[in-house]
Amino acid sequence: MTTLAIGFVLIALLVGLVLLGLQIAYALFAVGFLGIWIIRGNIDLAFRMMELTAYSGIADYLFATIPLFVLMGLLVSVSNVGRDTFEVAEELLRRVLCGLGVATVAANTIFAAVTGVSIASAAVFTRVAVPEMTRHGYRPAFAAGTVAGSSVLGMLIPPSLLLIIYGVLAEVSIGGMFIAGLIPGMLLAIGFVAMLMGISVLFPGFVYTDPQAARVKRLDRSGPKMSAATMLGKLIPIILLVFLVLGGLYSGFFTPTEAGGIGAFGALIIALWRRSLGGGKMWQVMKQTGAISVAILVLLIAASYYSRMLSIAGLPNAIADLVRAGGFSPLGFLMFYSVIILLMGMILDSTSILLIMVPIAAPIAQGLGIDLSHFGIITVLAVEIGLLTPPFGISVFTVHNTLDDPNVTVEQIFAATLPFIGVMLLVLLVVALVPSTATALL
Amino acid sequence: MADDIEMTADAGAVPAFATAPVGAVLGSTANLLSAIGTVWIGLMMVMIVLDVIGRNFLNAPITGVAEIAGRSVVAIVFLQISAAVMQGRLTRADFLIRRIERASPASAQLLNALFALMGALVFALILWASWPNMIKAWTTAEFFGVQGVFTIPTFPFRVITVIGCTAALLACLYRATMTLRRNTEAAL
Repeated sequence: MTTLAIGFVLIALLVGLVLLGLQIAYALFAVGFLGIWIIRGNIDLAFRMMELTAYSGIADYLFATIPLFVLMGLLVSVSNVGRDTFEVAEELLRRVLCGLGVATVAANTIFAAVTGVSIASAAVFTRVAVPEMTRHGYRPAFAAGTVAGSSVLGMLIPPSLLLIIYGVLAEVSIGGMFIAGLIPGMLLAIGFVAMLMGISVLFPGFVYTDPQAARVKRLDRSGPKMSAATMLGKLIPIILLVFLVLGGLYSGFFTPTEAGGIGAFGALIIALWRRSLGGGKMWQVMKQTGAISVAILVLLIAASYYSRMLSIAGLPNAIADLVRAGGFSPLGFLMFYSVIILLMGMILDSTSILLIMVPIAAPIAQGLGIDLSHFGIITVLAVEIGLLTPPFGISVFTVHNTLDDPNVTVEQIFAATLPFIGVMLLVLLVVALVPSTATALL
Repeated sequence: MADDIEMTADAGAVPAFATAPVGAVLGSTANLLSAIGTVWIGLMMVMIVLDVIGRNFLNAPITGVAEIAGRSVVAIVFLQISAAVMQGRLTRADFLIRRIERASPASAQLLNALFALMGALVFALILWASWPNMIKAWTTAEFFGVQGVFTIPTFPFRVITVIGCTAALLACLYRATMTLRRNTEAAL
């Protein structure tokens, strides 16, 4: 058997084990070990590389970004910053068509700029936005779908964990990835807003429980008003934080790790100032930060071992040759690749998809002359759609679990996210066709 | 007040020593290691903030922050890994195994036990590979950093890797036996 054939058998083995339910880190390690051992016929080499990866694979300043941005996201989540942002958005957008849906998207967009975890956004906005939308005559399932759908903005608008992980795997600058994510993130937000407005005009029954009453409520101009000062007071913490983190990052004043450290510290000050860390909350936030980051970092160690095995097998180059020989155009390859990721998204979580696919696909993309930042945005967009597709649509499950309302089933929420998936596919297509959406600001 | 996000219930509950002595000792050890890792994340943040402030405003940067933070990430991972194993928090795709469980709980348990043994094997391999370098780091007083500017011995970091792997290995074995035992009890 040629080295290449062994490589393919090993990838198949990996996919099989992962599907069966083996912990992904174990699967990556075991397959990597087996691969290096068989291909090189040298078990010592397999051991030596394992030690090297375990000790030095992620011993880099860069990887400190992950726990720091997770900590920042969790701290802003406990300090009610999300609720305040939503309240202000609601006040400003109440009279717009499908106003509360638009407000949810707007608040999510802003909140995404201080958190890199979709799940955090989904949990926060389920608590805040869904009851408010239901109260104003929106269908609960539609409200839940809106929250799940717009929470994926968190993974595209910087700082985003997925962009960091992609940057690490594809060896692209993380600061660069953060810049590349800006325009597509905005496109997505605008697309969501347009879609919400369109749907509420065309299919009011999909949006409201009682369209007529909702219309009356929207046009009702009485009721309490929020003063400009209150609004400003509610928004100042998040504006400062966004300014500190993204401003520092884009001006080049901070490295991504420093931005993470300063951001987490800023979020800590906000949380302390709002007295939201009492009663052991601080320790819980810290513990959860550890749990989330370690799950990701272990995967990164294992993935870097697996990708060493792949390059020993010469697989990336071989597949790149195959793809070229197969007459794939860059665009054809992007489409093919997106479809595979979409399919994987139905069964795997987002980090694992990146870990398995990017080491194989990034060299191919580079060989076809695709810009790696552009490629990364396409990857993350396709992966994010997976956050909404059954049966592993984790954002949908988060919303469902947090909501805990027997009248709203998982299936209903999945159905309500369909329009969002449509918009995401459209944005994916636009970004694939127009590379400058990702690379213009670089 | 801060009810925006729900903290997942503390899954780190340790069984009582009287009913499960091995589980109690292993669980507490894992929780202790993980708590050290948790505090370490906080310290890393403080260190980075102090460095940024010191460099930009006081003209007094902290030397070696980047190197120390890089090493710390690895230490944090190995400190927390055993708790993650104990509490079954490692990422996996469970859509197929959930279906298997519905059809035949016993075979799902068997698979889970096999997977835990697989994990034990992986940690044993890492442990086996890391041990010689830990000894070497001690005997040769290996360090990282820049000689003359700042140097930090690598030995403590290598020890953390070894301890973390050992704890994770034991945790895997413990989970495998627990799963198997529950399985045989159910079969009786």
